[in-house]
Amino acid sequence: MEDIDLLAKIRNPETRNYGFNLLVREYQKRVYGLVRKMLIDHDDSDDVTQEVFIKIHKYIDNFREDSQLYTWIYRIATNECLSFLSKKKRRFFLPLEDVNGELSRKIDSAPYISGDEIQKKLQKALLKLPDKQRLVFNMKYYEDLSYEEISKITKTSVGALKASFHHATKKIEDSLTDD
Amino acid sequence: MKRLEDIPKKNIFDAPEGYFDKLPGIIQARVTAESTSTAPLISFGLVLRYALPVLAIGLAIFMIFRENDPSGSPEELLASVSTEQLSGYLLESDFSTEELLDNLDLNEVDVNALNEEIIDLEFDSDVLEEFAEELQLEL
Repeated sequence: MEDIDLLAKIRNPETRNYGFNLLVREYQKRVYGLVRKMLIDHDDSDDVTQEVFIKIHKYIDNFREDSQLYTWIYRIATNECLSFLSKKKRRFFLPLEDVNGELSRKIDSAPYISGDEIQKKLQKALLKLPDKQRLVFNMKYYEDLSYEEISKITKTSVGALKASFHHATKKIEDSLTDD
Repeated sequence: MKRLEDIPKKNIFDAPEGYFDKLPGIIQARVTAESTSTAPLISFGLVLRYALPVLAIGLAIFMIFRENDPSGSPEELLASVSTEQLSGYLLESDFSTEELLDNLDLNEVDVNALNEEIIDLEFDSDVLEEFAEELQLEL
């Protein structure tokens, strides 16, 4: 179903719940996938994914159709991820290395993680990046989003995103070589 | 140096079995619960944020004034004065009966009670004689 049809159903009071349910079904895997790559842990990702959709439901009437629906949804998801990580660091008074160390250990021990050694090493190398850079990297590398799309989601210039992705790639390759 | 392009691109994160079948229902239930509880929560939040401090300040001011004011309510003050003291004061004061009656706010129950009391009065001969002497009447 097209986004425009989904929105029409959500905006009609008689089909609002049905339309929103369809929206969740349409976007849940992409949102969860984006969130999970940032938070690593399934339970945390589940909480944040739910919060993302609660916010979507709350603010869907404010969505202006001059941007695409998935761009708007991804923006909410990225904000929720960054906010969650920021709160986690503040709540436990942990320095960045400790939180990333904890996430790194989860890659080896947490449930619902598959993949061989090199894939896990790549994820651990990613955790050494600043959160925003990691987010940009994930959207470009794993989600195959274009720089223009990421630019709309993060409200960052395409040039800055290209530089960020280039530096991230360099750091990851250096990290993989060191290990 | 290891190149990123040499590593096969793969998503290593899985979701539990059936997770995406249940998630829409969970979210729908939360949305329904939050939309029904939002209004009272906001009101309660406003009450906590604004009304309670105002109430607390009001209560504090009332208590301070109450402690500094030795007198109670007019009814309490009147109740603390004995009937003898009150009669003495009224006899010594310059109030006429008419003035007192004008200032009294009698309701129907009060009037009936007074009438009954007056009708039930029984004067013996000594009292009547004293009253006649005062009025300089001859019985």
